[in-house]
Amino acid sequence: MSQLGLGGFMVIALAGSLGALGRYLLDIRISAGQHRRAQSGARVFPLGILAANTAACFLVGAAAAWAGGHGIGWAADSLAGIPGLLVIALILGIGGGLSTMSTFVVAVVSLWRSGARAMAGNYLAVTLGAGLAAGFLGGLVAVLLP
Amino acid sequence: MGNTASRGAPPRVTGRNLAAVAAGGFCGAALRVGLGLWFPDAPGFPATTLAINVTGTAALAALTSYWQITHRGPSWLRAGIGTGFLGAFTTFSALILFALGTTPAEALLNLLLSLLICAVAAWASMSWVERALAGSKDPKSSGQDLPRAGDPDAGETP
Repeated sequence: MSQLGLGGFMVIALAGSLGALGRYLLDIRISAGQHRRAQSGARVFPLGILAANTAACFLVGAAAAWAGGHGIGWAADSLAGIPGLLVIALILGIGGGLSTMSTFVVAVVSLWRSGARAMAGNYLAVTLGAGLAAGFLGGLVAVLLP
Repeated sequence: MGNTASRGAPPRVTGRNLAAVAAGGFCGAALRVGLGLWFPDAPGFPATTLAINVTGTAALAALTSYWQITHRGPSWLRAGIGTGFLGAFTTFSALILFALGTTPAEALLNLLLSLLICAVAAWASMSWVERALAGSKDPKSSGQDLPRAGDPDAGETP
């Protein structure tokens, strides 16, 4: 099956834990600022989760392009040594933990159902567009890395 | 019907919340990576990622509605299960990475299909929880008749 081993698996899961912590703190920090500025009861655009998802897409775009440029495979079932493990920990761990589909989609559906349809549509479109752009940009930036 | 989008103030950062998010995130990421090893995504369509995202989104939608209606659940538990476990279990970056590495047609198909199925799953489990809780509130039963956790098909078993 995999050459990952328990140690490698733990490294990836720990990276996922770090990613989730980063998303949590980013979301709290950003939405706290939004709530300070908004009147109470007003709908607040989910900027924190948008930021976390966009940052994660930039990171995985850069990591995947860097690995590709250095001939490092990062499929979890065909591991290429320590560099491969680090790339997997970045992509599947930090990137996967920092980004989220569930919170994103639940917010879109909640906003839509509560009547804030324009905000739901904007959130969906901006998240998709920003994610694709950030991932693409990450791939360009990776060329500059050593 | 909110979450981060519409709830009052964001939760307070406490050591307990952070520990819950870290532990939940560890388990969620481990389960996602483990499932990926067990059922590797086919090159043409990442079905395992889609299955992970749909189940995680449906579970979070059900829990969000449940917590919102009942006002149950301490904040560390919501942070640990919602933000930590289900947030790290599901992934948006894998979707984008797949889309950037494939043909535009396959990318579009995967993105649209993933978003559509996840949104339908979220909608279905929210309205299921709302119906279940509304039904259990009317009669004399005082909250003991709460919905079975997580399984939207629980009511249909023969």
